[in-house]
Amino acid sequence: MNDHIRQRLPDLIGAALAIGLGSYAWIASGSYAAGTLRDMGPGYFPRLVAAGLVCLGLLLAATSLKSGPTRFGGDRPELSSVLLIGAGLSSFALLIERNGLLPAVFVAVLLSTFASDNRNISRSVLLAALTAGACAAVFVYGLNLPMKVFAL
Amino acid sequence: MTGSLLDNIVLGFGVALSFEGLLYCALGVLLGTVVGVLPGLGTMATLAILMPITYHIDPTFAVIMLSGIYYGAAYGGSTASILLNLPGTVTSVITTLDGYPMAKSGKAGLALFITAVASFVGSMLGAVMLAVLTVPLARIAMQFGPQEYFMLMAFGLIAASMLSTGQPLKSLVMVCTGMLLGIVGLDLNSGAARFTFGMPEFYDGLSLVAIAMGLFGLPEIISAARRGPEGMVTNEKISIRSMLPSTAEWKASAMPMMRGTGIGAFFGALPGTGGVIATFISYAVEKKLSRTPERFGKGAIEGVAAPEAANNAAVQTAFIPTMSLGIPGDAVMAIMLGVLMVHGIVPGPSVISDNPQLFWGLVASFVVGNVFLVILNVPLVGLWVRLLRVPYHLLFPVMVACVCVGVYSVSSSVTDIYVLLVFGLIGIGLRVLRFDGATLLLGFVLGPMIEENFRRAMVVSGGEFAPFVERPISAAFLLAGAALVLWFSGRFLMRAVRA
Repeated sequence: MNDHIRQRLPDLIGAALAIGLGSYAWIASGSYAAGTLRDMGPGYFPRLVAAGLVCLGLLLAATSLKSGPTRFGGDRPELSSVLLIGAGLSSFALLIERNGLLPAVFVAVLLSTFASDNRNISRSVLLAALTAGACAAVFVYGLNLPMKVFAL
Repeated sequence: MTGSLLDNIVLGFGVALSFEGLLYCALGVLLGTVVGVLPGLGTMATLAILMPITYHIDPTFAVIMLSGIYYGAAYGGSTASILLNLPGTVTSVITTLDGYPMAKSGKAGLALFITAVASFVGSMLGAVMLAVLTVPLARIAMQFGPQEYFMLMAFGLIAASMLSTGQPLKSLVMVCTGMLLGIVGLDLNSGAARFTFGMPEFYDGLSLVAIAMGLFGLPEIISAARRGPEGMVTNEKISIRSMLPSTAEWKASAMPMMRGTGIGAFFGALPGTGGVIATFISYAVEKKLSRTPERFGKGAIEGVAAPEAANNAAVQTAFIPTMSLGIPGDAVMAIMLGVLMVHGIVPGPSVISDNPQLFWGLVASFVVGNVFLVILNVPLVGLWVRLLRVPYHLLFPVMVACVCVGVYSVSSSVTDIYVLLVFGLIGIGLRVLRFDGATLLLGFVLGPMIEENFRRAMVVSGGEFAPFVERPISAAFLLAGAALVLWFSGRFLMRAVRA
């Protein structure tokens, strides 16, 4: 890969993604009736937007090759933070329906605490328990949100 | 509802000063300040958590409270910008540029005070414009056909892309992506399921709250998780005396506040653009007008006053298109309209004439709420400074819980949590590739309305494009949009030729 392309990678990746997504949407909306301009079917507008996206992607690729180098955005989060908070969200999703708010919030908060540099387990457990209790008190008993509190 | 402005104002204050009106307004601005002060926990998450409970209260008070959160957060957002160099909300990013240097040179109190004054001035004048302009605009909008709606929204999206903080072309890509995401769900006209991947959970479309929290809330929380204990610039108490500006400082910030208000009010009222753009533009304007532009970035008081006034004016005038046309200018306004629809109030030009107590009560509550906010942000500022001292590693897991509960509570859907997670990852990707997620969200919000009006316009005209050009208002939006695109492509070509 030559330097000219490498220095413009952020925009070129973006352009490629736009073209890819647009093409996918174009193909996927092929199964919906397009209708006519006078009486549009469900497929007309999606195809219009998909075509627009592909064109914009091509335009972005062309202009980025013509303009100066670009950089990737800074502030990239640590992979471990992403994974831990992702695991926290997933466990909330898995627990909330069957087991209720208390365990769901407890596990989500407990997992999330380790996304920072914190390694103090007892403090994490305490924070998770307090948050779960507070959430139940505020959202279920205070605001009357329709949620189960705890079930096995 | 054809009563005079005075009658309407009396009606409005009757609602806003009632016990319930005061209660919900105070609750809203207090919560708004808290979420504004804490970086990472956005307005969207709070609105999402409170949305289900507003189904049980009168829609007027529901909207008063939710709006209070919105403009309260616009006040509170600058506190962390000034003291920690961390913007509490996206609209206070620009305040870090001069607010933090001011704080570092021992003027934290002054910066906070000027922010509160600028916010108050911007808000109040914005609220006046809302009161004066909305009704005439709604009257004009009564004659809007689908062509005008389509062109206005298309213009809004183009203006937002061209003026956004990122590259215009990349923002247009985001708009189209957002519109594609907005298509997900059942087509209202034909009942066809589009882009639902065979999942019935997606028939109602993707959750706006999940997408918004995913794109903005999660990346902020995740990237902040590893942040060490930040150095607060001041450890002393901020005394009232240290907050008061000198005569020279008053003079230096008066005109910037006015200009900021004007810029903010204009961009706030345009559907699509709004507070963030207004803060950047008003900062740039002040820097250009200043006789000493080198002071900017090193603690210039104008650099705090103007953007803060702009930001808060924009928040108020954002209600103009929402209340007069039924077009939400941003995701928060889309939620506000959603709440109204739950109560059977159909957004559009007849909202005010059908529900005068709602609109005028809301306007009056802005006045009341802004007075509350000045109290919260000037005498009680020490409270927020203390809140900011709570270590972030204790706060962000709690925010994760709030985001989860907020997204889930909107429609008790587990799928929404996974949507949140996926869009969190997309949000991180967009930051790395330098795409602006705000324009994606705008495309998502306006996309379905654009499709609806485009289809209707085409049915009405029998497949002809002529009415878009023949109808004067529609043609004006078309011209304005085309002019913006031409100007920006012209600028790009000039640069390319020179290079």
